[in-house]
Amino acid sequence: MKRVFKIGIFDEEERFISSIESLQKKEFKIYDVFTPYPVHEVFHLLKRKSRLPTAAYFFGLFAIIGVLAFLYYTSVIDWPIVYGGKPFNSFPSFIVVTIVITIFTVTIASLAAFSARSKLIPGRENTIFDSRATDDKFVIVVNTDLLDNSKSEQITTLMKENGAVEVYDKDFENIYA
Amino acid sequence: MKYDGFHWGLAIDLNLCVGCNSCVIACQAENNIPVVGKEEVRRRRIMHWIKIDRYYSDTPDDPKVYFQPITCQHCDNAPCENVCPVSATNHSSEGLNQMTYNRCIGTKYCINNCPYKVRRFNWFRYTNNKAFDFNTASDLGKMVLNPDVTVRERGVVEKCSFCVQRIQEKKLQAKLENRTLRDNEIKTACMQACPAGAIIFGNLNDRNSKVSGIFENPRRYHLLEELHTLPSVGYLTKVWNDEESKS
Amino acid sequence: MYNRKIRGPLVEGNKTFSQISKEILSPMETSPGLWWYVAFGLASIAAVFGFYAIYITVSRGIGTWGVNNSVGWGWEIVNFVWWIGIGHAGTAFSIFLLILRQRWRTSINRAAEAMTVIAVMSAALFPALHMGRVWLAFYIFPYPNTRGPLWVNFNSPLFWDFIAITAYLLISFSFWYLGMLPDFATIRDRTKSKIKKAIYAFFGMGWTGSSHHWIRFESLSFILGGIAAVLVVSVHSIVSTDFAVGIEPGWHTTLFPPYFVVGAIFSGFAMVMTLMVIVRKIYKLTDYITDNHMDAIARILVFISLIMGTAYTTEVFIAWYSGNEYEMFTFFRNRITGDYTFQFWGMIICNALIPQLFWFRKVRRSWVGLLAVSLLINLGMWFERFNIVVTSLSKDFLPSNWVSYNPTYIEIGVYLGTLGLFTAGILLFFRYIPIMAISEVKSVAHIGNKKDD
Repeated sequence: MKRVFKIGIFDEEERFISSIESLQKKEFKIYDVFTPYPVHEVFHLLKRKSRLPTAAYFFGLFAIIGVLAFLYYTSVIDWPIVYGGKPFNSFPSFIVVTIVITIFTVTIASLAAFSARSKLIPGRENTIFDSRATDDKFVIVVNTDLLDNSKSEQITTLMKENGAVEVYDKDFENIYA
Repeated sequence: MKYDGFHWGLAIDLNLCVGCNSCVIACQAENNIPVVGKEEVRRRRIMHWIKIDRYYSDTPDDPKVYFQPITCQHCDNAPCENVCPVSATNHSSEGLNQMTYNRCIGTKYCINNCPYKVRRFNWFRYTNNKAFDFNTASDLGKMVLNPDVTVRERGVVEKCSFCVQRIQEKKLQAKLENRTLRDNEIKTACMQACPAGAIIFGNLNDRNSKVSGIFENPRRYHLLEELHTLPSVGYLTKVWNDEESKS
Repeated sequence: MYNRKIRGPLVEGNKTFSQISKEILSPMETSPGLWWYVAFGLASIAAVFGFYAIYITVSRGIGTWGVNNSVGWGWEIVNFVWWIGIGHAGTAFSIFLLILRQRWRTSINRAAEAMTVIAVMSAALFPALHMGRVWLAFYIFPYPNTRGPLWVNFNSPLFWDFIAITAYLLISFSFWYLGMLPDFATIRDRTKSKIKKAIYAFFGMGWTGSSHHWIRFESLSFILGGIAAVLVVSVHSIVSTDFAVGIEPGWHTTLFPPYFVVGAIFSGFAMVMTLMVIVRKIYKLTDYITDNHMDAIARILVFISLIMGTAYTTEVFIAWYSGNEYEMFTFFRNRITGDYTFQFWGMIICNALIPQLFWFRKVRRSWVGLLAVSLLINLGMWFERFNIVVTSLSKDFLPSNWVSYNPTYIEIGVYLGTLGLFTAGILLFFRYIPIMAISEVKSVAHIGNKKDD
């Protein structure tokens, strides 16, 4: 299915933000925005949230329990060995191993979660709406498939009023994101 | 740590030791210890599992000389065991500090952490190596090797095992004859070779064994006792009867 | 919040965003000068010599080194600890300053992290090589095996060390790589060369800079930063347990973990400074790495140097105060006086005294002063590790075990090899990876530049 997008290009962060605000005031749904660096106002305006911290917390919790259980199993149940007169369950020296392996697990699992959720995989080509977004431009993308021409024109005017340097329509066959 | 069956121990009477080095050579022959040659000895890479330390007192013109044979102390709280990452050295249920050559990857951490420095490292391949043509490089030379003891590979740590091959042999024999081990039945190579009878090996758990008797002697002390390594080797301190020798 | 009058702008010269992209990418887009090829050639020669030394070590045995029955660890462990210390710069810089929201980190953290990754790789070489049977190194992995299964000794500081370094390498690499995603995308979208576009598109993983990407990117940075902050403290603490858990006089101290961590950050920051002085000079990036940046690092260094001085004094004091004769001997007869005085006093002078020059603004503002002091700090840190590892082992409890230790050219060769690998790695980094986090520099480009700040 062919999809039509209206793409607005901005030079400055402030104009870009005010443009988002005025589009939202008129209840236009913004498809996504693209910026060269993270802009925190955007996260608030578009209500973007990340549940990665919660996920990471649970990865850590499972890792701690798992590692301690593993250490107890290997050194007390499976093959107890005496080292230097220490008890089999030498808990204080297990703490170090637990901390490090927990950190290790959280890192790998969070990276995997990030990669899967954001669809960032080596060699993947996500759709680039405007390639200048990674250099110096702020880009607002609005899906205009279901909007009639007058609405679409209204978006262009709004963006121009707020200081867009360029506004254009572009069709995409498939969207990867 | 409790030892239910045996707890092997070694007592060395410094009064009796004359410093003749027979124990060193007996150990070398028994345990297939490589001869490494003058150059390596100079670089402090001697391989002997037992060595004799000398201490002197009084004036240099008329010194008193003390000999102290030092071997692995088989500490019950062994510092070396804690630090081996691959558990190549650990404690047996009979109080032996055992060394598993097959498992050793040669980090040398145990060597560093031994306060007595009795652990030895195979710095080169000493067997079948023409650079170390002393006893194990030729077919004829290899005939001196003891078939009961492993020949160690390059890169592993080795040390005194309390002649574990002899312990196992006698235990097996006693088992086959359906009897308990007799005291003094097991003789380590150093004990066997000592002309003065200064080295006694035995079971510390047996109150009546000879080694237990010596351990109750008030002269008994352990090397670097203050480190609390709890060695299984005990020394009887040397006593000089100065009054008698003066008269 | 940010006081412009005191600290000056973070990025000088009121730059536009595309100017920033262009200037930071210029070392990658223009051909490197002759100096680059000369330096790379020298580094490669050192690396080749290192490979030769490694070949001799592995094929003939550890006997080719100067270590012996009493000093089981020599230069290899000294160098290992030294490299790991240098490898603390990246995490200390990026993560502590990220968590403290010190935004001046943005133009330095990429290079510091690159240095970390390369230094930790150099460091990891040594524990592998010092093994007598390196081909059996996999025994250290706790994996189910057919030998029982026989697990590893979880009480051993060397095992802790192994997992700590593996985790550290992985996390610092991920953190570094994560930061590079937006920059790879910038290169992908700017470049005109097809090959370059394909390569950076592959490694850029399809980054578009959408709000979804950015929010997850930020939260992942904070997660990785938070847990890696624990690592900064734990890795060198664990390295210090290699000694602190040991029984040797001069090793067995509870002071070691904090002392090692501070020392690591000290050497790491010093190495960052060395590198930054060179980068500024060569690539003319003084607008991004301003005098104020160097000033800030110098101030941190003088503070840490005071902590180091305190630690050295404490060690000696406790040796005397404990009344332990072995400790007293190690410190007073084997370090302060004795065979290893050169290393001991070298350590004191380079680490505790010379950095005090940074109290003077003139020294902090002169590139010769910064370069000289930072190099001397790294030399001093090497002496410190030598002091700890070798002097304690060379004369410990029983006098019959006392030996001296001298390295052979094979050991020195391995060290030269890692220096070469490190230099070559840094040079490749300059050439193929943006040396600053472009997106982060853009986000702070206007701080302190506007009138109302």
